[in-house]
Amino acid sequence: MVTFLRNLALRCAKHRQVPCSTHELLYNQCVASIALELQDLSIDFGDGPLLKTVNLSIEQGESFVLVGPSGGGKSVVLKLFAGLLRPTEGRVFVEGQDLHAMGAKAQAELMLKMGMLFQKNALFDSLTVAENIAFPLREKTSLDEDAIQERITFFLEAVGLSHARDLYPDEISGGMQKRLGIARALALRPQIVLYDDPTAGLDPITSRRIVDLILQLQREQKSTLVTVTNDMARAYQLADRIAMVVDGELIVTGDKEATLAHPDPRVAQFIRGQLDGPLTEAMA
Amino acid sequence: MILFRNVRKSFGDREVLKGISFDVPEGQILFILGTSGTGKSVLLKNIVGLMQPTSGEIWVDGQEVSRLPEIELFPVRRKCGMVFQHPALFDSMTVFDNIAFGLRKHYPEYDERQIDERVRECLNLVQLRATVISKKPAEISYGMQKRVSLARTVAVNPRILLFDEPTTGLDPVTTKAINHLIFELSRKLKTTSLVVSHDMQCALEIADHIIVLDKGEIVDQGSPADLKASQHPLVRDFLREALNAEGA
Repeated sequence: MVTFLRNLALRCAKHRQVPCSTHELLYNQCVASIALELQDLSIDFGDGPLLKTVNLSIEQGESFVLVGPSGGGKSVVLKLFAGLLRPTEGRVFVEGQDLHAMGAKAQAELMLKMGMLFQKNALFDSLTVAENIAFPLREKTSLDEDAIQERITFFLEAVGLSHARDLYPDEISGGMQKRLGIARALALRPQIVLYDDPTAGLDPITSRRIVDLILQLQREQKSTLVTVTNDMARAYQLADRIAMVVDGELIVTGDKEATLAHPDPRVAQFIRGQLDGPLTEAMA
Repeated sequence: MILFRNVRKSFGDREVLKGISFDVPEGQILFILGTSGTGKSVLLKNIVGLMQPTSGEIWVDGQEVSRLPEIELFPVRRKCGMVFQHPALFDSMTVFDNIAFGLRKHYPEYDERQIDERVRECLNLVQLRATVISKKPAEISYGMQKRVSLARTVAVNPRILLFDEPTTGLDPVTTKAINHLIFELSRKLKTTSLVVSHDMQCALEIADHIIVLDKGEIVDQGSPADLKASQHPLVRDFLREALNAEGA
């Protein structure tokens, strides 16, 4: 629907050299609720397309989860949204704006609305826990020192790290490093948060707590989430909708119940971790 | 056979292992489950002398190993094959050379034909086709890299296999495949295997015995059937998460 309206609006604009107000209005209303969109998107790193003509719309306030075999392109989808990769074909929209049809400055501004947690946290080793959170605030906002300290205190409390404020990343556990990564990603109060495997390597009990925290912060900020994970327990806990990225396709499987009942044999095999089926380990 | 007798390990004033005792009988698969940071990896490192316990005894095949000088640890380490969480392969070497590396070092009497034979035998054991032999680690999938690292470990005929979180971070299909492989290898090679993990589902599928560790102490143990019936809150949490992963 969105794609249809967008094309209609674009076609009108092209033909008349001015935007068609009716279509534009419809389109804007529809698009206003879409946070992220991939349109006819393909990406190829030189050895065949990793994603082939993929379409996806993620609504504002939605928690969307990507699962699928390693190397299948889950993280690539996140990096496309974050503007870190350019599609070979097709377009990426963030809040209705074409990411690659705008100037670098406008893109940088748009990116401020986005937070990303990397798989390996990517913390600054030489900065303390508090300074790690302060860094993007000093770089990207005009907040004064009091406001920065206030925000550090707020987010350290939210992720349960108040006691570790002055420690360095290598002095805290893996679970604490994850929580620090989350706090740093959220400190800019992004409207859209991209999580690349937020519980990788953590035990299931710590993982559940971290996802509880992610969801609680999402509700408070009313933000849109896109999370990559390999862990189906976390996918079910997080997702309004799930999609599986496999064989260059992006199969939206729906909520937990719909995913469990999905007819595609690749989905059924993957989510249950079955050895027999169309997926081979060479893909995994 | 591995025996732990009241093993304690402290770092400064923090006690990580608080008096651990257990046996792993010859040929069995023992899983040690616990949350992150509860001392599981420390326990593994104590067996091969990468760390020494503060007090207590560790016996490997009838020999007390916890206070051996470095030089006397070599035969103990030869006996123990360690499989790390990450494949830790040499990026610049082919799959063949990765597996042959330990063979060339530990079996200087082998000629190239014997090394070639043994490498192929080990690839077969981990169910990899011989076509991967000339590939570099970056050219094969992560699951295949894990298999190569297993092949490298078993190539030198260890009697004991130590696994440090072998399925952590893997997708559900690869998790199942690697877990099955651990079972098949252990049985086929008749090794004593100790698996440190936080995957209850994997433990229930292949373990002979499961120990649950919390804050440096054993809080519950038994067969998979015993554990399924456990009332301990931490064990219940682990069981619940295993069910959640199945979509229950």
